[in-house]
Amino acid sequence: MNIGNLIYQSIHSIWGNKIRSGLTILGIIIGVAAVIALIGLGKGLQADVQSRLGALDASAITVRSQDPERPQFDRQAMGRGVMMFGEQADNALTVDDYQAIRQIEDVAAASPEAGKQIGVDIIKDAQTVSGYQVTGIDWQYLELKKITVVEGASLTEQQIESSESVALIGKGAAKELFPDDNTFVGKTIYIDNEAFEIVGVIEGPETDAANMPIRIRSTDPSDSIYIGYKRWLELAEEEKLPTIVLTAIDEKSVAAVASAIETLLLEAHNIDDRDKADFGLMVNQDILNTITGTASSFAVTLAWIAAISLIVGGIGIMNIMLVTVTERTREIGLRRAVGAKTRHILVQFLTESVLLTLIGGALNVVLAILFGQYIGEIVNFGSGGRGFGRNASEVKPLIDFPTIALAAGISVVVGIVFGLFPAIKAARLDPVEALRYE
Amino acid sequence: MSANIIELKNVKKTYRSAGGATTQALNGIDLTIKRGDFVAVMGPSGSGKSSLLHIMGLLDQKFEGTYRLDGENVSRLSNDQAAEIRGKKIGFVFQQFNLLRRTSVLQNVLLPTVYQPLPNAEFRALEVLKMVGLENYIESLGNELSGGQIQRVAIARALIMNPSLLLADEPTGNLDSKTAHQILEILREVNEQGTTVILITHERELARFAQYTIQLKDGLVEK
Repeated sequence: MNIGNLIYQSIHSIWGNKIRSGLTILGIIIGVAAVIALIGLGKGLQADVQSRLGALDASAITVRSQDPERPQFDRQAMGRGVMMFGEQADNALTVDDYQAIRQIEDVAAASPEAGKQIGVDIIKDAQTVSGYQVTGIDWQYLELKKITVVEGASLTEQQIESSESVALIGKGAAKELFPDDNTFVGKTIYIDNEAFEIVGVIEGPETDAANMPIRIRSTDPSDSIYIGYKRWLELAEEEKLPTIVLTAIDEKSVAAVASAIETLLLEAHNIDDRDKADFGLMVNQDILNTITGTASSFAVTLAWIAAISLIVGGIGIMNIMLVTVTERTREIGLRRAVGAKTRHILVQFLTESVLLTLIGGALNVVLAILFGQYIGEIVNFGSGGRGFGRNASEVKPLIDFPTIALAAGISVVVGIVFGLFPAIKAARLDPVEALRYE
Repeated sequence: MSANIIELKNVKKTYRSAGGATTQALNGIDLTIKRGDFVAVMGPSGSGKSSLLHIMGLLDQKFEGTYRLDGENVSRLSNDQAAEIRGKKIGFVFQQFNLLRRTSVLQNVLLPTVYQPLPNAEFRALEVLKMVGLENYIESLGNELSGGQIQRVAIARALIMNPSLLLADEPTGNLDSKTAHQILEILREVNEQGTTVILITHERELARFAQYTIQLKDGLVEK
């Protein structure tokens, strides 16, 4: 029994029941299209999440002061990458802590990040009501935060160490304070009524922040003012720092560095129980892993949903093949009489069900590409991809060759799995019974 | 080559219903049919004609006794062994449902060659179709033919593998007498060319076409 003859007979039989075959194929088309579209969507989602997280530095660590009673960062939750923003705690990190952290092996760069809303104006005693975020930093801060100097120069280590009254000003803040000017270096601003000379104008990295529907002004470097951290402590009348930001030399060293910082600070602060620590560590890598993990488990969930619709399609195949076997009982008897062995009958009905699913699989590849893009559009619209006028990256379903190959593979597998029982039933028919069947 | 195509010794067939009741269809048949014979098997309904045909045609392997076909013991065959011998040595013509609908006459005749190779199968198909007078109908579909034509196609299909035995189970049951006579003429021709023909019928008039008649009653051969 050759393959050509098998396929000819199967097509003949499928064509002989056009409506029934068409509806069965439709079930498979929907099932396989759902698999391709949802897997594609899942992949697109992962790609989107990864591109959005691209700006997040995986080697970055943030050390923040934390109220031991009301942790801002839940340390247990931290491992799962959950951030908890609680109330502002008292500053707990000393300059010595900072200097010690700098000495830890594999720390690439570190800086305090001591921010406070302070009144800023261009004339003394201006009774300024609204303030600017004035942040105390060390010389590596700009590098850590990917902030660029657009005019003048950054703060030098010397200027910071000797608490000089010099400042970096964000481009936006500069424009607001000096609306009529285009250059700002050398100008004087009054922070809390103390005179500071602008030595540089800075601009933050391009992030989604600028496009956020709700613009968080204070977090945008372009709207902030930076001074040396020692000068900041004087100005803010603080002894300790709220936050220290740093990066490890690479992603692999993050865990070791974070652990070293924890040990160092617990000892320096004389704390035995790490659950009572007055500081918290936020590791970007954990967050990245969690978000990426969430995206991929979402993709897996989508794949399962798709699999269910495929199973429904498969049951349709099985159902129709059982009907076919019953209808063709006498034909089976006749074939057995003229010499067909059990395996001939088995292969014939299996071929028919696989052919049905393969036709479905082939048709759906085109449909799934359209269907998938359509789903992508719905998702983007639903997520506000257009609503706020932001140029956020869109979720694009990825229909690639492996997905198509998968669809074809799935079609064949569904055809075999769900066609097997009816085919076995056909093959096991007793020739005498089959010939007598009315 | 054995002179006897069929030798049945003490063949019994018992049917068991789902409830456990048993029916004895064949009660110990002893029967020898010589190669080249044209035999009619007659008997009233329930006499065991069909059971005997199924056993002789190797469609039913569940019987007691011995059956030698062409000198070969075929009493205890597996389903697939039986299928292979059927395909090579036995041709069938049934009373009804003999053809695949929506399938051409040629393809119907070629059906046995799907399962066992035959060199120049199409040439042979045309040869047997010519023999039954349907050489001009090769592209017609099974459902476009008259009852007589259908049986002629069935005879052609039964002959394509050049079997030594042709079993015809009430082949004219659904036909008018004129057409029935035509079919039997063809069977006689087939027999004249050397094929053993066993005709199951309940019409005495048709049995006259055979060389002799075996009468069955209550699962036994009437002497």
